Amino acid sequence: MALLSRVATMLYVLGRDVERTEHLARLLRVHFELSLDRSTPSRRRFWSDFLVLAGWPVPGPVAREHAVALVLGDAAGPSLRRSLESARRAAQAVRPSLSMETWEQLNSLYWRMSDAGWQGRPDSYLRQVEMGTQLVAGLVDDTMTHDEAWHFVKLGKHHERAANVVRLVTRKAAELAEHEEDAIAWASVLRSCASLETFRMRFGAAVSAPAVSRFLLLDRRSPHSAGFCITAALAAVQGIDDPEAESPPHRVLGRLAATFQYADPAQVGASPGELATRFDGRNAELHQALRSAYFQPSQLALDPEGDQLTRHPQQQQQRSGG
Amino acid sequence: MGRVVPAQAEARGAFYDEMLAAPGQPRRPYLRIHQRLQTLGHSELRRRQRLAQRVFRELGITFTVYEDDRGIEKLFPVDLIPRVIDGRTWTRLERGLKQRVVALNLFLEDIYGEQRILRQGAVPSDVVLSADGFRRELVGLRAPRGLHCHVAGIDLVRDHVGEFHVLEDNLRTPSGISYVLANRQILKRVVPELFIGYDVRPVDGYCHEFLSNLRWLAGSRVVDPTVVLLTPGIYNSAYFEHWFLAKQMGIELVEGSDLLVDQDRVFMRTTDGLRPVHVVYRRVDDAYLDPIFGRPDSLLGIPGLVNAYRAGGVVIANGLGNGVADDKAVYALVPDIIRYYLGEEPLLPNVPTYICTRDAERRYVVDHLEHLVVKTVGGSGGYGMLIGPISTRAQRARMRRLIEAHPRRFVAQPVIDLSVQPVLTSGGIASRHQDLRPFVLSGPETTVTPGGLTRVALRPGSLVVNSSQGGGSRDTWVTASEDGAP
Repeated sequence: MALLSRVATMLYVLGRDVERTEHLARLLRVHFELSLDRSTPSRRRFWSDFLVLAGWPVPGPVAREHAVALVLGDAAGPSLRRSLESARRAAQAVRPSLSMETWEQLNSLYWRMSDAGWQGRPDSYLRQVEMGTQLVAGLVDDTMTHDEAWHFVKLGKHHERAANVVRLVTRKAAELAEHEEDAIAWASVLRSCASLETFRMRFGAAVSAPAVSRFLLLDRRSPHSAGFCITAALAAVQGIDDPEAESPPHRVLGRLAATFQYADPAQVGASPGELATRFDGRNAELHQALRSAYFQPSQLALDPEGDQLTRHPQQQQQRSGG
Repeated sequence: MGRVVPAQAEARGAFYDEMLAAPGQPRRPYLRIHQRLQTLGHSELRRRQRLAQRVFRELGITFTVYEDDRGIEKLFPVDLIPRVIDGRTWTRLERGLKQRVVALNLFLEDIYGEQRILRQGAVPSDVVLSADGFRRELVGLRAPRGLHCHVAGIDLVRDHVGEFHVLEDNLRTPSGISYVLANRQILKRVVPELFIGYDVRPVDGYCHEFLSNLRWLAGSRVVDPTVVLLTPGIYNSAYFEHWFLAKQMGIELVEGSDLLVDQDRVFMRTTDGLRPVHVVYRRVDDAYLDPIFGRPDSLLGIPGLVNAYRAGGVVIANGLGNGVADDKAVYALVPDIIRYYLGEEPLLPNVPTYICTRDAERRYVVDHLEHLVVKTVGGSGGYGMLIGPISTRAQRARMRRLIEAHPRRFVAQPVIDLSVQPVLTSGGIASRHQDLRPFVLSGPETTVTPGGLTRVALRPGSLVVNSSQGGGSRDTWVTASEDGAP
């Protein structure tokens, strides 16, 4: 069953914004906890760097309270509330395509977070958001049919997560390059990606910049690595497309997946920026491909069963214009 | 200011109490419910009421009201005390409702066809043809299967002796059925003990019946018709109902931008190209349905949809132009309409209605505003009403001027003493007014979903039950037993 293009778009947005909410909540919580003791090197730009990472361009140093209030408050910008609202709005728009459980959890999370205050205890507030969004993501997998609609949610989620990880790693690499090897800061990068535990299980307690970059960008088994997410996004597109056809998103993601799979780990560890640049270039292409293939398809040729009409949008426009 | 309606509805006696024959004396169908409510006790009932409201919010059962251009999501409050209609009463109501909707469908088919009823003078053509909802451009159109109204919501009120009257016909896009279904679900979940022993007729059949009617409308040449529900989108106040019904019926929920018309056929835009659509259950008003036909600024509609409908390329439910039968001046003619098409006496009485274009009636209305309810003929949702007994002198003066300037826009009715029933409030049990909106489906047969939406005015003494005006609702039971007793 083909999906309405609008519904496909909104399912993608749902997956993206649930992931965005979770990532933002964890990113802020990790920074908040880091700032409570002396584990933060007393860098003046700690919170403004965080804000830039979270999408708030700020000119100079800012205080913790200010940064927290921006992300958790009501101000216009990429706040936690906005992304949660946007996820819920998308879910509302595609309500019939979602399972009851998925919708109820997302909706109830929205109301709980609107009712609860974050002042005083931002960390516990953020933990609730993380848990809530993870629960929604789990319900998507466990209660929805793994059909085209589901693949669009997964596509949005994995695309978003890959982009977040790439951005985080490259920014942190640039920020921390000027300082001497800072294991605590790099461990917090892993924590921001919910990956500290898995990293330690694999590599032990020693955290180094190249090892973290390699792990977060290239690891094939960690669900929080960029490479893993790109492969998962590719699988989603394969689930959406007709197996015979090879769509533009399929081609772009296939090339991107290959870039990550066959990258030289030593080189990526030493300078993750290069891989990130290639990711950014392909990412722009991917957005374009998604739009033209699924969200606003220009191919409006009619060929439904039992219908002999074949029309193209150009003719459609001409007729309605004339 | 003279008051005809007592300010506090607690002054029982003037109104028909559905549950209590006298204080502390429940009517027969309510005996067990009354007993069980007392066993549960007030604080337990309040706790369960809060639980019900929380469940509603988590399920997303809300509606949006607009204040200062900002949409605010509100709960439609549900009272836990059910309304019980015994089998015998229901059979009578059901017959009357079917009779009315069958006649109104014949009326619409005639008005948009030969207009025999007007030519034979059975009803005055000036009243019918001047209705805002009458779409002259649709005359000559043959509705699929001869049906114009596929779902109707008929508003009933019960007067001081308990007699049911029809207050309004809603033949355009009546809403509320989702609350009928949701209220039943929530009551089963929150106060299951109330059901024990009562043989309550289920309401779940609605979606199945309606969908099979819609598929039937597509005609026999389409083997597996595609039915969609057209919504104005997530910001519409009834959006909950739209997705709820789409989900229950397993049909696609579409917005105007999802559809396009090509050579008088309708298609939806999918990730896999265009797919044909055969039946559109629309929850978008006539005026917004097609910018070519209605408001050119409509962003909700689909250009060319009305022409496709005219050409028989798509079924639209409810049909276009039904507003003529909803018009509150035409409403006054419905008893004659029933007599004309069916040769029967109406089984359900109307509320006496003054048509303001008639000189004598208008004079009476403007002279007795303080005793009357004045309504706009095309209005719904309780907007723009004047309730005489609780109006101010200035409001009445303004209404008098409006009526004199635009007599066709207004009708007036005596204040109806809506029946009352107890509701749970924070302070205990209190009596509130209510009405009843049963839903009538027209297809190969005409059917009525048992019960309907009981809307409750939650403000003390208020006669306005509309959700947009602070009303709530309650579950409505029709019992299989004749006398309603378990």
